[in-house]
Formats: sequence, C-alpha cells, structure tokens
Amino acid sequence: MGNIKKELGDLFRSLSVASTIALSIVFSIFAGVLAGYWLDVKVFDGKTYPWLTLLFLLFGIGGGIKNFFIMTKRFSKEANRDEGPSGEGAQKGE
Amino acid sequence: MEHPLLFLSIILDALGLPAHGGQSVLAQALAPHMQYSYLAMGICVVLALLATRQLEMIPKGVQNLMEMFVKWVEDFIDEQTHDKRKTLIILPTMATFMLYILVGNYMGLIPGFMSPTANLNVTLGCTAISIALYHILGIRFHGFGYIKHFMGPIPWMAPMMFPIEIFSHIGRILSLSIRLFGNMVSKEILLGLLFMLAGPYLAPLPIMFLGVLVCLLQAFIFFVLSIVYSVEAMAEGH
Repeated sequence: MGNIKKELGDLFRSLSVASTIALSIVFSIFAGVLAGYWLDVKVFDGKTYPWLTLLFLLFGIGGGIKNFFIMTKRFSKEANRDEGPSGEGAQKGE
Repeated sequence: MEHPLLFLSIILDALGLPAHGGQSVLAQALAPHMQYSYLAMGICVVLALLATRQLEMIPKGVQNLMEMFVKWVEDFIDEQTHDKRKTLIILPTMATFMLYILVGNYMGLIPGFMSPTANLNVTLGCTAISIALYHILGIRFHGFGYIKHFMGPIPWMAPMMFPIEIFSHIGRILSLSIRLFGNMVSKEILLGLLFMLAGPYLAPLPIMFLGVLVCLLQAFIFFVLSIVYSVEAMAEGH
C-alpha cells in the first residue's frame, strides 16, 4: 500500500514539473515581447520601434531557457534520488 | 462565460443584491466567482474548526481526516526542504493553498455551482500570494544578498542576467496562474457545450471523469510549484 502511494506521489510530481517546463518557456518569451512592445509604443512613442521589442524578446528567450534549465535540473535530481544514495552524492558535488 | 444556473446568485437575487457583476464596488465584491470563492473559504474554515474543536488523543472523524492531510503535506514539504524549520515556515500557506484550490476546483463539478478557480482574477490572486511569499522568504533568509540570486554566477554578466531573471520570474507568474485558470475554464466550457449538444445521452460523463482527475492534478501542481519556488528561494545561492 505504502509503495503504491509513494509511486503515485512520484508520478504526480513528475507530471507537474514536466507540464511546467513548456509553459514557463512560452510565457516568459511572451512576457518579454509584450514588455518590449509596451516600452516601444507607449513609453517612447514608437521612435525606437523594432529595437526594444527585439531586445526584450531576447531577454524573454533567455528567461525561458533559464526556467528550462532550473526545471530540468530539478527533474533529473528527482529521477536520481530514486536510484539511491549515489545520486545524492553526485548532487552534492555541484 | 455566463453560467446558466448558480444557486448562490439566485439566493442573492432574492435578497435584492447585485449578483451578476457590474461596476459598483458591491457588485464587484458579489460577482459569481467571488460568491463561490467565499463559499470555498467558508468550507475550509468550517473544516478546520470542526477538526480542532474537540482535540482528542485518538483522533476520529474530521480531526482524523485533517490530521492525515496536514501530516501528508508536512512530509511532502519535508522531502523537498530537508529542514524542519523551513518546513514549518511554509507549511500553513501551502496547506491552505492545497485545501482552498482543491475545494474550489471540485466545487465546479456539482451542478449549480461554479469553480472560483475558473476565473483569472482568483488564480492570479493565489499566484500573487505565492510569488510574494517566496520573495519575502528569500529576503528573510539572505537579507540584501538575495539580489545575488538575480545576478547570475559571473559578475560582468550581471547587467545582462538581471532582465533575463526578471522575465523568467514573470514567466513563472503567468504559467502558474494561466494554467490553473485555463484548465478549469476549459473543463467548464466543454461540459457546458456537451451538455447543450447531447445532455440526455450522458455525453458529458467522460469529460466529468476527466474533470475529476484534472481538478486534483491542477491543485497538486499549484501546490508543488509553490513549494519548489519557496524552497529554491530559501536555499543557498547558486
């Protein structure tokens, strides 16, 4: 009984992390583009039009990649932990 | 989407209060999602009161249920933090999130009720609490040095890393709130559509079954991600 409960918990946790990876990438890119567009059009009155949008698009992509790395690290940490103490030891070295 | 039949709205209508949204403050405070949000809060509070009214050494009834729930949440957070003190700091907020969102999600499956979480304002409010909480925890645990979390490992890259970090945090806010909202509202719309198209032939039943799973999963995801972000903010720097 306890084993099933633990497995179900692990499954749900993996599901939650895995489904978050994609969404957090998409939304941080989206937020970057929107912020850049808002700065261009509303704050600087369209004088700087394509440049701030492009710059903030890059920032957004960077943020997305960063979220991706954090989540993937977490995911592999959880996968390693199930395999025993060797995974824990490898994590300590970071 | 306007719900066809909402019990609380009908009751408020009978009392002569504005129950379908509007511009005045009272109408906004009594909009349908707010009514059901109050109901979910009420259920959580009543559960907590029932559980703690007569504490016994050998628990039974509601106390047993709530003790099981709190114990499960505590163990779950403990697995992530490995530190009893940190666990006890975030335990009340996280348990409340789980209970409130779970009750709110499942409420939508009962005819005549709607999920308060099927409204972006409610989920954005929950997310705002969660995000503010982990930044406050970060400042509390690291003091002013918390800003180093935003600067990346290499000093000369800090001006570039700072906006990147800002957008990764904004992405978290959006993904946390819009996911919960999107899942709940899609379930409601799908149920409504199927009910209108082929209601008498049990067509919404499979979606209802899916809804039971999705409700649990989404509440759990919100809960897990709040814990993950808080733990990450409390952990030592990169």
